[in-house]
Amino acid sequence: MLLRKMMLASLVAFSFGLVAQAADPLKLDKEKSKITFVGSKTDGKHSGGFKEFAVDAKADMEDPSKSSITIDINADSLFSDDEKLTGHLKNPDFFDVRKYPKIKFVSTKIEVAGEAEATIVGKLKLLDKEVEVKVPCKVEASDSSIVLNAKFKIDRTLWGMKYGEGKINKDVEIDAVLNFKK
Amino acid sequence: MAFELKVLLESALIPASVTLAFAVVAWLLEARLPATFIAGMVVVGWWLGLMAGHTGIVPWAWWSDEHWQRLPFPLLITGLLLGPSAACCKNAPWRLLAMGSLACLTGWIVIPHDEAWKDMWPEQSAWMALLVSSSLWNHWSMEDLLDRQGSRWGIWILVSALAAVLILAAASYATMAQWVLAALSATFAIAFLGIFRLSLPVKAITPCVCLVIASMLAWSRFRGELKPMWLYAAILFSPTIIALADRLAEKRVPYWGRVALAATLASSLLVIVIIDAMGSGHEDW
Repeated sequence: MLLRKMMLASLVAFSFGLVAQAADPLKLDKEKSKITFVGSKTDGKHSGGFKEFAVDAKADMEDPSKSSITIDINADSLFSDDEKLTGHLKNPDFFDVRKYPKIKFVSTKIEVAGEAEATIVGKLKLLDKEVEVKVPCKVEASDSSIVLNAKFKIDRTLWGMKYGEGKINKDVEIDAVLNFKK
Repeated sequence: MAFELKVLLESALIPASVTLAFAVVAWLLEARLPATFIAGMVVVGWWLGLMAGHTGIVPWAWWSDEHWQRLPFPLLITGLLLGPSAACCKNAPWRLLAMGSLACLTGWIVIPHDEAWKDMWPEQSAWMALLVSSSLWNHWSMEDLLDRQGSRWGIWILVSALAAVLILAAASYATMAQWVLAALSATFAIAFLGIFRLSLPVKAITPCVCLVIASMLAWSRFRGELKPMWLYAAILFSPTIIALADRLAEKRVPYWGRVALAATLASSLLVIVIIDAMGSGHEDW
């Protein structure tokens, strides 16, 4: 059991840091990375995402729990599958990008959760409100890249994004793929 | 509660009901109380109807970061100052001066000038000028129209201008559109009762409605897509244009002809705004 945990910890540490030195920053491959979301209602859904974001990831190879990841999203780079909806999403009914131009995620803890899996616990700051979220993610490491793949749901109302309650679902599906070059 | 029902209640039924209740009481008491008091009761009812909607639609804040949500304060001052006086001092020059000053105050409160709106700074002076000039002209021309046998139908011109603002606001910012709907519903209640009760001082609410039209149209620009300037101008000055057309027609056209002319002009504006809204697509939620 101890051996298994040590192996998992090593894998996550390897994924974050790979052959780099401990706590070395990882370089994001923006072309292969994405942060998208799907909002839904009872009889339909819309997809969208953010075109501009920066990731500051650091790995501690010896102790993966000391690794960290910070994501800064330019809220105004929001896009969706409907031009009108994009304008509406940027308004105070939803993201209010003029008042809150940045969305930020800062990890506080990284937990190994299984083989090539981890849960990143962190604070997501949206609409000037910080809420703790747990992001389960899969870690894929290859010779040329390390990929964090996270699919999870957040309750938008926790950040005060309450418009459309009763019609638009509270839960928003997030799909983030962060591809780091070796 | 279903979303559509919530919108219907908060933005339409409650504002209209509160306003209507005050207007009916004013109607019942009009023989016993001074005209200024009755006019004041009508305008306070309109404002409370709007506020009943406001508190349901947006989170309450004394000084909201979202500038248009500060509009209730200048509306209350305007209503209390110019509403009751509509019954007693209709041609007093001080009322025009007061309207101009209150329009400036409203513009200063609702037009955003802070850093977050830096990209819109070049347009803000123009919108300030449009807000003040249109409010002043619309107020003056509507009071004039309502005094010229237009008291039964004149207020519907403001209802149509508010409906045009609502269509533009609804294209990009639903909460703001709900707020405009609340103002529209409160105004509709007064206009509706005014059909049956000629002596109802509908004129008392015109200064406030003129400020709502100008302020919220400015915000439909700040928070929405850029529309042609002629469209903004047509909506902003439609009450003045229709009132002037009525003045020109007054001597030549019978009463119902004047009503038909005003209705045609007001509905033409709405058709143009609807065609524009349909042409630019809609959000499929």
